[in-house]
Amino acid sequence: MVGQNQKKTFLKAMLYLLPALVIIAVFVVWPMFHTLRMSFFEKFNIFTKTGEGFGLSSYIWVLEDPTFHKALINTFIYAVVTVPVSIIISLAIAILLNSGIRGSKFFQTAYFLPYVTNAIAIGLAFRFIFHSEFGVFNKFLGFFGIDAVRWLTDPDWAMVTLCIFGTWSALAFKIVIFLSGLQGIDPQLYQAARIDEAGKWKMFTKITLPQLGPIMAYQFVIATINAFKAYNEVVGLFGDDGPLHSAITMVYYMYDKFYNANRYTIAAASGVIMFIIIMLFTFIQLGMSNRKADQ
Amino acid sequence: MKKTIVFLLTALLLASSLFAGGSSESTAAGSGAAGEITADDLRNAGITLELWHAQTDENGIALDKVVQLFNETNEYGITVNATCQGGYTDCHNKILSSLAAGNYPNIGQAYNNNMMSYMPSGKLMDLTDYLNDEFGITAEELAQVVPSYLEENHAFPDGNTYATSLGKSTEVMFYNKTFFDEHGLEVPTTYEELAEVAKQIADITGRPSVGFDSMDNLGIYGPVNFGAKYADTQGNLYIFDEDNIDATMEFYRWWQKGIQEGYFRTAGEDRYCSGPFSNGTIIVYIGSSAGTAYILPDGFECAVTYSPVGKNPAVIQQGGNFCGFSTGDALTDLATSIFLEYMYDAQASGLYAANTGYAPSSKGGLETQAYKDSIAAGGIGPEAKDISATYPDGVLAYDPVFENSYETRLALSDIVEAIALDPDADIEALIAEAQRTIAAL
Amino acid sequence: MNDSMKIESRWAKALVIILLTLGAITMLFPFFWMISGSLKTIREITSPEIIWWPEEEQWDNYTTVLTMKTNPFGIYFKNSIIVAVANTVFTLLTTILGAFAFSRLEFKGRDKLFSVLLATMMVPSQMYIITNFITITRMNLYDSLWAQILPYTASVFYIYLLRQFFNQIPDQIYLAAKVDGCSDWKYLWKMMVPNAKSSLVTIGLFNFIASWNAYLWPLMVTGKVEKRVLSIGLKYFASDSGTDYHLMMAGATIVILPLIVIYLVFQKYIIQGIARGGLKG
Repeated sequence: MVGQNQKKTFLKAMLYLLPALVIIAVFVVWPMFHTLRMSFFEKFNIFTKTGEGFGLSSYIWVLEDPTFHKALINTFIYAVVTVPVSIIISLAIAILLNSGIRGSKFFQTAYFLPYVTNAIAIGLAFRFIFHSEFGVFNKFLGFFGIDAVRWLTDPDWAMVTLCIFGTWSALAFKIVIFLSGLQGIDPQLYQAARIDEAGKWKMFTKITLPQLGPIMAYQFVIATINAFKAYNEVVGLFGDDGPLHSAITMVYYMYDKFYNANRYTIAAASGVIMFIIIMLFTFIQLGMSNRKADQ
Repeated sequence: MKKTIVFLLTALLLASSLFAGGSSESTAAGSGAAGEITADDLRNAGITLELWHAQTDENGIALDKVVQLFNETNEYGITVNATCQGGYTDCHNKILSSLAAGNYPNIGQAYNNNMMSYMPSGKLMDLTDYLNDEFGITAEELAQVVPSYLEENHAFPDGNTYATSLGKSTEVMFYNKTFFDEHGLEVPTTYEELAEVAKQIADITGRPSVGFDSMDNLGIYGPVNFGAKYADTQGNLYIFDEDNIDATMEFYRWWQKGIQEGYFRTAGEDRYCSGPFSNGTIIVYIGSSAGTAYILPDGFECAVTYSPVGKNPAVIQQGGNFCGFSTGDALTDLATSIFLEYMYDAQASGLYAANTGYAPSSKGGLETQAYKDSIAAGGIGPEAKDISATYPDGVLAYDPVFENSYETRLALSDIVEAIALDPDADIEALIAEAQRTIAAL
Repeated sequence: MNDSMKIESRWAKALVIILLTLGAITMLFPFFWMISGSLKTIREITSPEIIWWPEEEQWDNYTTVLTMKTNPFGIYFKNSIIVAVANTVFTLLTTILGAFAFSRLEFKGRDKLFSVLLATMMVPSQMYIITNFITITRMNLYDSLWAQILPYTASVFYIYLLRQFFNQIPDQIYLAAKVDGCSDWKYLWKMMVPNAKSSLVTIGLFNFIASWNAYLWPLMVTGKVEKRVLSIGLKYFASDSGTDYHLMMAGATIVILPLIVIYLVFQKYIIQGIARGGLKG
């Protein structure tokens, strides 16, 4: 009887899930397996879908490729810089927006606006802003006596520029979420603290931050995944992978190997490596935030 | 979560063992199956062909005109439908995917190195025999085609012809004539003179004012102009070997000196020199003859002439070509070859050249009224086009296609770009790095 | 507004306003620059001097972009709306059904299936494209609006978001409804969905925006001009020798403007939706 019931629930659930599962299976899971299969060949003919040299040679090639190392390091830098920086800035902005000043409606609109934009389109505007000779940004810095920086053409600066752009475009979404989180905190918590005459900073660390904990964890996970997948930002800003490939990211590497160099097995292997890295990071982060939540 | 990892790993193993084995075949489609087919067979069949190309805007319209002319005038009742698939990268991706999916076009436009990646499909048509059959282009007409175009289209590892060309651009030199007249400067014709003039100009403007648009081109044709040999279709790279390294090094030093002393530059973040040239920050640049729409001189007169060359003159010809994909049906494939050969037609290439910035593939195209009219209209565009169409034989060069030609080109481009970005770059180290990259391919 | 976080001191208020203004300028400036650029001549936009606003607004840039023969933004606009709306409707449907199953139906292997689905979120979509192209072609959908709609009609991320919201609705209500003989199906549409209205609007908007901005995929599956959408139009400005930057900026503005309008209209929902949708996992 129980077994039958279970079966019934299962069938019912499958009916509910059917539309989503079919689409995901066909357009997400199947391509994943296809890519995985490709990655184990040394050479792959995408037309006949056959390969030769089954083994790990593509993985070895990728792991030994200095360009891949650069892509890996750049992606790490991008994630390590943009994720915390954008979270800190967006939290600060959300707190300011939530401080009850006049005109906060206008400010909200202004801060959320970048969320609705297209990285490629706005990246074009940034190219003009970052121009070393004529760009507004350098003229602005020059105002403070800072020498012109070749934001877009100096390989040493390309990652800095990319991180600035990446942070800028990642802020809006985070502000929205933090603001809603702040507004969701029970006011009684603060009132209780006020009776205890707790200072603002103490209220922030003892009430606001812990209350935002789950949101913070969520933001970290989503932002890290997105940072690891950075591609549109690179193309929008540089049009390619930056001066001397100095801003190449893992997704760019994969894309270039697939579509420009037509080295399918290399592209597939780098994609799988990337997937594994993202997965590990996500589990570590989830594990860390779970442990914190337990404490 | 642990379970998920286990699941994924199991899936990974499963998938890999399932799909192991199998081998690929890489053969090109057979050619010249025309055998017993007659013109009547073609006419009765009423064949329609799909053409995917990468010409946007005005160039797309110009290509449409050529296609229309073909549809109206070909004696076999062949109809071609042309659709633009975006830029070259997009068009290439689509052709690639469509070959995998089976809904590929009959004719595609692509760079020759991209055509290499179509070969394993077994659909890329070998045109060698078609060119000599009784259909389409005649031997006399073939003799009219710019020799370097013909060569480029069989510069594949197997030496077969896989492509035809309708029109091409070349590198040319644009300069600020007003500035030259004002300061009594001589227009350079050699690399040596170019460096000389660049120095003089930099002394006047106080900034590097002679630019090179394409590091990809300079990376190969810089050394070639200094006497080095680049590579062959078998993938042998000569540029760094003992016979050529001296010439190659000589070029790198020449380029580095220009950067160090501040008289050469690249387009940099402007991507193309036409922008800084238009606003007067660049006085001379070497760039594509087809890029003149973006030259908008702000208060000066612009002039164009042949690109300066070194002791071994080489100026790159560029632009995509057309290739055919076999359907397995002899009649359709023959029709495809007829259209591809039509790209070399005097009228067709003349018409195309007249409406674009490209030089016609057939020298006969230069004599068509449409082309003459377009040149007579005057202006920097037509002038640049005419320059590109009148390089002496033997000067125009092209990249041979081999297995890793794309990445080899990039590696060489990186060397000149690295020197441009860091005047004190260690050339030997850069060469060593490029060699490592190429060797690993 | 949460009055316990209010700032009282006048000086502190002034400081907050100054900080927020500086920040707002940083956020808005690129948009201003894009719009200003879209009204410049090509010479003004590539000028070495900073030109804050063109001497004479080149509104023609917009007419040029909208009516270009080979790149008609007018047609693209219509297609973009069809694709984004259809895509959003289907996505909401699959999301509601999926989220319900994951949040209310206690079936075997539920959590396992859910974690596997979450793992797929980590794969960069660039990896799918070739395989999906082949699939779409086999379905005979190449060069159709359907090709652009179908692959994105289910999203693990949105199912995840909505499930979080559904999970917040107390179980008692569900159990009580079951005792009353209310079927799951009826309960979902009569109780859950109306309750989740603002979350659904938010998800719908997220999806609409994502669909509107989709770039690589629409580029792959369309050939004919009549089937293209707005975002790919930007791609067609660049040639191999130069770029019409002023037209490109006008194009970029046309792509972004509708999003800004939608955003301004639905701003309340976006914020409410997230607040109520409880991202507090």
